[in-house]
Amino acid sequence: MKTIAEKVMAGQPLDNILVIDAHCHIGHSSRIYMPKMTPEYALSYMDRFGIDKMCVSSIEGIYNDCIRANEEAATFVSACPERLMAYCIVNGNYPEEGLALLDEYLDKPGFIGAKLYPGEGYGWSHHDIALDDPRFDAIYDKVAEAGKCVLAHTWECGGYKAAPGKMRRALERHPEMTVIVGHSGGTYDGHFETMAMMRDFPNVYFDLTGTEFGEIWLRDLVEMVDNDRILYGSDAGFLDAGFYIGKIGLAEITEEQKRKIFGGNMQRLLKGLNL
Amino acid sequence: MEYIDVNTMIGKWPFRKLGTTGADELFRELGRVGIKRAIVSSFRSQRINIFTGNEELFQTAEKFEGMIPCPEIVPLINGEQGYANTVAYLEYLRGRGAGFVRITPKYNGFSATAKYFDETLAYLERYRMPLLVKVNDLDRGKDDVERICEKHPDLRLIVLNHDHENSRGIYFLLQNYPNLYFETSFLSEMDEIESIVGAVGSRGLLLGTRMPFMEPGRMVGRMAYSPISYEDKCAICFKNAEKLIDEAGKEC
Repeated sequence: MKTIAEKVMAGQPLDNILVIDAHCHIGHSSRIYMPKMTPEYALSYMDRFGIDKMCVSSIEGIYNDCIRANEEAATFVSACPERLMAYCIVNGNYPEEGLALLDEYLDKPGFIGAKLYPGEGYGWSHHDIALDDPRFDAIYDKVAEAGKCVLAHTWECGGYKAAPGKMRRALERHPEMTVIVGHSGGTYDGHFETMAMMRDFPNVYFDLTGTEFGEIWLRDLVEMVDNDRILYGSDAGFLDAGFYIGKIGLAEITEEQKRKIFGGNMQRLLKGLNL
Repeated sequence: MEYIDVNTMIGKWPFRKLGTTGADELFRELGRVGIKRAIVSSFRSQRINIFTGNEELFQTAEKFEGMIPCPEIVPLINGEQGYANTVAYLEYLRGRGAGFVRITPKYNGFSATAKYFDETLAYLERYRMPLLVKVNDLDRGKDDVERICEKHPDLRLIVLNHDHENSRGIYFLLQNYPNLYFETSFLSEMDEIESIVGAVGSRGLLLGTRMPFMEPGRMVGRMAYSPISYEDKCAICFKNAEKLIDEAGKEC
């Protein structure tokens, strides 16, 4: 039987292992070219690599039409609920709207948690709000009480609004809450802040999506963090999944570590949620 | 599939220990994912001293069959280090066997589009020596790419580290400048490579890994799963680079 690396080198779908992409997007952007992510296209795209399941959010929510974003995501996942899942996007600057959206969507089939977009200034990919802004408190509470997860876009560390450590306060209130640290802080220092969060809280996960800038190779990362809490994610929709399939599949790590990262860890995470 | 990686560096990165440091580590990691040839530049040349850095690069290349040295250049002044000017230094580099050169203008305090650099670009153009530069090292990014290509249409310009989330300008540039190339390490938008190939062909794309900042398996995996034709894949993975290597240093 071919190893994962052999399959990747040959461009063959990883159909003998479970692959769950924890961090993807749907929608259209004026800023970047995004292929039309219809459910049909998404499923055929997933089949190219052997991705069994995909977890998406709509970029309409980045713009701030979270209502439309979640409608779009709901329609998307309903096309193939066995393989497509979604996060409910909320904007902390509109907490009442966010809570209403969580009430509406968290219990809908296919929705696994909330997606947050913190960040600095009037950037493209976030809402200029800190992850520890008090307006997020009720949102964290609701997600934790519902037994769902949080996927937060994070970047940098320390005093930055999207620093992973900014979720510490919420996690101290809900230490068992499942948190996927989107991009794991993005930078080298952001990765280390994520690792500190992982040490302190048992259900915080390292998301490999967009970790190119972190300059930590996977063969070194697996020596630094709990291998059961590293997740494959690709930003598919924005970015191409092939990069991460290659990064993980051809990394100098064991087959078991690859299986965990590709899908085993996310499967266990999902089983731990109230779905 | 064969691969030629056009975007690699060796040396000690001052800010942290990266995935590889020396050429031995570089080629071990590249070899592990099937890449046997690479165009290699030096952090020492780029960040401290082009003369000692470039000499070390050439000496290292003598020990690694697949290593194509890519020395760094800057505009020289006042007979710096014994060379009358940059062209004189390029004559030396060409004689030393260099076909490719790299610049890091923003970091090294000059502008690639300034008049004082024209003579250098004209020399590279004349001898078909590809010039590698990071797009964000140009004062005005892709605008400067266009300026350089307009003024020096026969210059083989290889743009490195092109950002993700920024691809809308690439198509026009590749369509209109037949000696312009983009390396692929961060052409990371979904189906971006396929979209470019579909729109303007594969001529202007070169496989690059951005080693040692990024793991080479990323790019190999990316290409392995691409549904573009085998011919286009070969072009991107090695044939386009091979053509540049074969003609480099030969007068137009």
